[in-house]
Amino acid sequence: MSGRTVPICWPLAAAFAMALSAASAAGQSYGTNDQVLTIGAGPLEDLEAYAGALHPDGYAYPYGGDEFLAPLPLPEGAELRQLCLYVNDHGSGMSASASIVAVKLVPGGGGNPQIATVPNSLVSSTSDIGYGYYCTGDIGYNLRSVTDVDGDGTPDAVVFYVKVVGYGAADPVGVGAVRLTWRRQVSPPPETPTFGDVPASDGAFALVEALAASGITSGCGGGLFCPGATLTRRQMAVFLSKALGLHWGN
Amino acid sequence: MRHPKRPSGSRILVATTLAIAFRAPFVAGQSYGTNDQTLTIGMAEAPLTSAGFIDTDGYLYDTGFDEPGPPFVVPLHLPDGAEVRQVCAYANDLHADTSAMLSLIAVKLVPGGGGDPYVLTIPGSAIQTTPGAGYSSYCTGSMAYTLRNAVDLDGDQVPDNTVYFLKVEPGYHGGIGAVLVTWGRQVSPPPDTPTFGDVPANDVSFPHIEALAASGITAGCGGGNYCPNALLTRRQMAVYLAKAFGLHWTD
Repeated sequence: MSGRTVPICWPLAAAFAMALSAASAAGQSYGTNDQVLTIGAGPLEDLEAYAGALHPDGYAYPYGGDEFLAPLPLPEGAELRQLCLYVNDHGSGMSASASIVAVKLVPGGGGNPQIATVPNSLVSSTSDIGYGYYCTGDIGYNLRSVTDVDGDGTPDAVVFYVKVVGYGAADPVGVGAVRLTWRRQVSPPPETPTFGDVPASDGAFALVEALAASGITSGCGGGLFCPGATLTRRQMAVFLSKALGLHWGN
Repeated sequence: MRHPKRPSGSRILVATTLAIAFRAPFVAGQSYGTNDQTLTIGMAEAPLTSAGFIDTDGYLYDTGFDEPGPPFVVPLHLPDGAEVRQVCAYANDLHADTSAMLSLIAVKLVPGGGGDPYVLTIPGSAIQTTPGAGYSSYCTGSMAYTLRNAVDLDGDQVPDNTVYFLKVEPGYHGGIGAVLVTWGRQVSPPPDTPTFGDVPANDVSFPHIEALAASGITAGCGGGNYCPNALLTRRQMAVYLAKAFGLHWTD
């Protein structure tokens, strides 16, 4: 498909949008290696402005000047690695961009609102390539729900979004999806060890501390973890069932 | 002081109907373990032309003209058996006469056969913003409500299939930043009848081992036993983890 897609009838567009927006949060995998989160164009369709409705190609076509914030369903501590933007940029004078933004949640007491762009997360379409994609370089940013976004030295409660912007004239540019490469991380350990037999110098210090802080283990008694002890099948069951909150099937 | 834009045109009514129920929320990450963790539900259900619009502060402002904007719900993405422990909200209440209401609700899914619909406000989950307070945060007291996919909501002794939402009833000229739900995972209660002959109901790890078996992570060590005191080999560890997490499906 080339050029601006032919608008489809309004009720059909609405049906598309309803069906796809809920599926925009792709599944997440486990482990600490790179994985990909794909955020489809469903959340970008615009039910009020007709041109933004999802088209038969599955892309959304926001007008120039339209801004959208889409959910970013990633876990605490996730490291952002790269952001790629899939577009249908088919004419001069138009483009689209995507970035990750952090919205400060303002407590009482005269705080000021703030929206910060995550460094190195902005990517824009730069030429009339038609269907194609653009990627950032390495982002290297850790998502934390409490972080100092306004630079005043005080941690702020934060909510993260993907921000997509259309630029140019009324003739819209298509946005297919934002694909984020990210990975899970084990949290940094506390300064003071929880267990007497797992000091900060232990090779698994951070990992054992993470399990304790998550409520998955309280050690083997007496303020110890017994890191060198063998594991029974019973103990494995306790570790896993607590970690995953098993099993609530009907 | 922020004032909502005034969307023009009759399409607002159409959009209102469509947008209310189907927006995916911002789903903040979920972590593991049974300790407290926080689910952050942002309001940028872009573009939410009905329920409101996102202003330059990242907050959602209602589209009410001379009255509060329409109520809306967003999904509550928590696992079955999650215990809700507290709800907090960040809001920018700009009008001296009205306030916004936020709560967690359970909606009964009505089967055939003449059942009646039912919506339950989860006890202790409601938050009302303070009229004219400007930017402020609010929290409920401590809660201990377990979310179940099937639970008797309407008190007729029959379990109802249930879906949970965050419900937002905007004030007039008010902004909502996000709702933070403090919650924790729980290990499910064990069955009445033990699955394994060597893990009776009085075993301290009875609920944990039953939970693993019910999840399909282990089938025991054969002969209807689990061998709870047997040492775990690295091979068995690999099987447990790979099954538990459904590894590994990337490209």
